[in-house]
Order: sequence, then C-alpha cells, then structure tokens
Amino acid sequence: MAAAGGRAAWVAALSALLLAGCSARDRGWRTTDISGIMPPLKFTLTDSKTGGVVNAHDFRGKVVLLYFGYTHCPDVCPTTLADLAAALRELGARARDVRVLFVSVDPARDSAAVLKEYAAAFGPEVIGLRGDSEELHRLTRRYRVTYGYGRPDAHGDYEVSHSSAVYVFDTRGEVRLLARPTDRPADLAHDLGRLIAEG
Amino acid sequence: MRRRLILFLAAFAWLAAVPAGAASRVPVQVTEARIRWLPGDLPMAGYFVIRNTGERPLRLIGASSPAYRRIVLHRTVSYGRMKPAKSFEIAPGWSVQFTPGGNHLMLMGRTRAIHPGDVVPITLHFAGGGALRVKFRVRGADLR
Amino acid sequence: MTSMLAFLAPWEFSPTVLLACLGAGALYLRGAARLRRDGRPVGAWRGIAFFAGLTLAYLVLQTHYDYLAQHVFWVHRLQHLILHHLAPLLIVLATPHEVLGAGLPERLRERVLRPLWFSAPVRAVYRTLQQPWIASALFVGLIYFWLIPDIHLYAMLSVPLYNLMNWGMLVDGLLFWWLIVDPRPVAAYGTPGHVTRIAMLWLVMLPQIALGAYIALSTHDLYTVYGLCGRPWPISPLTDQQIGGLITWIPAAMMSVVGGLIVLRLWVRAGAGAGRRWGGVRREVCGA
Repeated sequence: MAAAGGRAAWVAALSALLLAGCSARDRGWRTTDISGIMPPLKFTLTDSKTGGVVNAHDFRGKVVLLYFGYTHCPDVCPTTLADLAAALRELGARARDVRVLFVSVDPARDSAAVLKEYAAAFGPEVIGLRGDSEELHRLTRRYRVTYGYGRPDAHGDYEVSHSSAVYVFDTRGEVRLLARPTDRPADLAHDLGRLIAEG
Repeated sequence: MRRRLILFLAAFAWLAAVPAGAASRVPVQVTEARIRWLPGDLPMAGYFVIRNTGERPLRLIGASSPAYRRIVLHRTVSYGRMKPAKSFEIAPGWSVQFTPGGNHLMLMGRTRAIHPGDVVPITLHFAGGGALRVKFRVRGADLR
Repeated sequence: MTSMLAFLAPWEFSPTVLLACLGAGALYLRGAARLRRDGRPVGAWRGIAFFAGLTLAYLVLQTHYDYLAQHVFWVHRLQHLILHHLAPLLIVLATPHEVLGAGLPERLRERVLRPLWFSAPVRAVYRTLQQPWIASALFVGLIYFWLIPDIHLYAMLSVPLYNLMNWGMLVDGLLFWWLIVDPRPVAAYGTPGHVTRIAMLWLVMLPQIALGAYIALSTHDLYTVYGLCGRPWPISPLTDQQIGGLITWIPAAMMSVVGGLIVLRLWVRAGAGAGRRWGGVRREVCGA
C-alpha cells in the first residue's frame, strides 16, 4: 500500500518535471521561450558611443536584445546583426522601443571608436558595449555563454570563438526569449512586436 | 614592308593574347557578387555564387584584388565558428554558394577608401592557372 | 602552479556541494576513528574507494572543470560518467553507511536519523525506488531525459535545472550502484539476487549503447546549446558530439561489465561464506 503510494508520487514527480520542461513553454512564441530560466538583465559596461558607463537600468522600458561578438568577425556577427536589423525594419516605428546590445568579447582589438562605427553601421538601435575582462566575465557567466581566442596567424589576426545566441529581455529587464541564428527575422519581429505590446 | 610588319605584329599580338585569353577563359559563371561593407579597417566579407559550366571539375584556390592586401577563402563550419579553406571543389554543372553565414571571402586590409555603392574588382584564381576577374558590388553592413 | 590552483577554484561556488563533500568526508574520518577505537577497524581500501569517489564528484562539480562541462558537450558527458557511474560506484564499494553512521553524533543518529530512516514514508519511497526494475528504469531514464535536446537546452541555460540534473545523477548513481554491489546476504536483507543484479546491469547497458551510438553517429548537431552559448576553444560541433556520444556509449557500457564482475565476486563469496555475518569477516573470506 505504502509502496504503491510511493510509486504514484514518483510517477507524478517525474511527469511534472517532464511537463515543466516541454509543454509549459511555447505559448505562441516563434523563437525559443526561456522565460524565468535565466536571471534578469544586469551589467555594467561602457557605451562605445558616449564613452559613459551604462547599466541594465538605463535600458528599462526598452525591449533589449543581447548579443556577444567581435568586430573583426567578417561573416557570422555581421550576418546576425543584419538579421536583427531586418527584424527591426519590419517593426517600423515600433523599433524605437528596442535596443540591440552588441557586447564585444574582443576588447583588445575592439576600441571604443571601432565599436561605435561598427554598431552604427547596423542602425541607430544598435549599441556597441565593451568592458574590462572582469565585467565581461561577470556578464558572460551570468548568461552562461563563453568565448575563446584562437592562436594569432603570421599577420597577428586571430579567430574568436563566441556564442551565437541572442537573448531577448522585456521592458522590465526579465529574460524572455532566445533567438537563434537560424530563426527568421520575420519570426523575431513577430515576437519583438508582442513584447513591445506587453509594455 | 610595312604590311609585313603589321602582319607580324598582329601575329605576335595574337600569339601573345592566346595564352592570356585561355587562362582567363575559365568555364564558370559568377552571379550575385557582392561585398558587405564594414567601417574602419575591419575585414569585410565577399559573397557570390559560382557555377562550373565546363566539363571538368574546377578548384577555386584563392582570390586577389588591388583593393585589399589579403583575401582568404573561408568556410563557416557552424555558427560562431569559421575556418580558412584551402580550396573549393566545383563539379561540372554544379554551383558553390558563398552566402552570409556560410562560405565567404574574407577581405582584409583595404588599400583605399571603400564605400557602399562602389564596385570592387576581385580576381578568382583556379588550380591550373586559370583566373577570372569579377566585379563585386559593395553593399551596406546590413546586407543579408 | 597558479593556473592549477585557479583551475581548482570553484567556477560557480555552491555551498551545498562544499558542505556535502566536507561533511561526508569529516563524518567518514570521525566514524572510522570511532570504529577503530571500538576494535572494529575499517579496511584501508574502503577509505581509499570512498575518498576517491568523493574527490572525483567534488572535482567535476566544484572546479573549473564545471565551466568546461557547461560549454563542451563531451566534457559534460564525461562529467556525467563520473557523477552517475564512477564516483557513486567507488563510494558504495566502500559500503560507507556503517562508517558514516558511526561518525554521526549518537544523539542525532539515534533520536532523529534512525527513526526518520525507518519511518513508513521514507521506507516506502526507498523501497519503491530500489525495486530492481524501477531502479534500472530510473537509471536509464535520467540519462535519456536530460539528453532530450530541448530539455538539455534548458538544463544548460538554467542554473537551478543544471544543479538539479547533476545532483540527480549523483544521487541516482548512489542508489543504483548500491543495489548492485550491496554485499549483505540476499536472503537476510531482501536485496536483489545476483542473477537479478546481472540482469539489471545488462538492462541498463543496452539503452546506453543505443543512445551513445545514436549521438556519436548523428550527422547533425543535436545539442545546439553549445553552439548558441559558445565553446571555450575551437572544436567542431560534430567532433564534440562524436566524442560525447562515444563516452555515453563505450565507457558507460564498460561500467556495467565492471559492475558484473563485482556481482560475480559477491556471488562466489556468498557461496563460500554462506551464513556468516557480512561485516567484520570480509578479509577472512577474501583470503579463503
């Protein structure tokens, strides 16, 4: 009798875990719903445009897209940023409620001047941020992303291995979505539109 | 005498022209040649679609341009990861795509100012000495 | 040297892991000392097995190894091989419960823990979990569950889920392997028979081989979370996946073989030493 009760409890617990993992998600979002899975937005970094220190609080009221990359990346980073820019274009005037934070994981080469010009090339909503290794380390660890440097070639160029996820935070700074490089800009625009409408 | 000289010169010119012509007559068709512009001296990416219209397999082994000091063929193996590629094999009748998020030419060290809207010549080099000059259109950073 | 020390520093400091490991280690030492005073010394190999298992679990949970395990699939698979197979097997091979019990303050043990352990609900849950078929299903089920690609993504992104996954692996590993290597006589303690144990090992081995082979031989990136979050050094996703699949496949299956050999030894010993008490006379039986 007691054993049967124990078994029922065990089955119930495992089912609950399964349900929590799979079906409680995906409420009409087209990118990956990660609400509540990661901590709210928090960082202290330097804005390459103004040279001033900014933190997560400065972006309250905006839907924030967080992406890690480096400017000497000729293909992957610009392709992702171009996709984000395309999603923002689809949003039209609503894009003013969105900010794309491009955080450099290669601060040695990404001076504020380079980063500023680079970010601006993708649109006014894109902001290049840089920080010292400690600040960068804190932020990347918080969002469980990492990066690494390849060996420099004869010309001193090196590859940087970095994350490809774009984390999306709502206007209150809570984590909501994970956009993958394979997601279509139209789908991201759809989800961003919903987050903007939530306010 | 003068006619002979002209004939001789013409013949010489023809002879001289033939190897050069043969070298550049690589049986390929290149379309959608474009460059994604980036500011400063950041490396840019060149994209195109190349089709082998000949009967024999071709191997793209490199590229050069007066506008860049160094061009490297790159194969993106996964998101966030790319790898220099020695060469790209193109089978007869087949195409290889160089597209954002995939294969690309990494264009480094511009020798002059380059702006969106410019046209930049890039010469593609093939195994066996063949080469093809292609005009690449420079597009904005948000090229997709 | 400094880089070695830096590597040993916790990546994500967890008081739970530190206290659990230090606590278990201290209890064991205290218990062993007490038993020695009582004239019932604990064999050295038991201590070695216990501390080796405990140290392995600590190393993969609380050093920068954990950082690598969060970002490289095959390092993660190796972490689970240690947490679910190797470390718990070493720990339970030491049959440490007696020593740990002796290490506890007597009042706490007699007034709180013993009544709790023998209380109906705890016994019911333990008996249920330790039924051979349920234990086997749980052992394999946990491996499969956390390797469902969507679940794996959430587990690698969320700190609480990640901790739940790793702790679950260790606890389940202890339960399962204890069932396999429990040296107490089958008849007197109601532990699974030796044939049942070998059947269990075989039963958990096949699905692990199937899953490992499926992962190793997949030609597309099953666990995209590593690419999404970045890898600490440039390793191609498929190479990473193939090594991870092989770890899930071969060494994990080998652990069943190792377990089988231990069961055979217990079986032979049970035949030789039938009717003897299982605790103190072990050495003598071994020598016989």
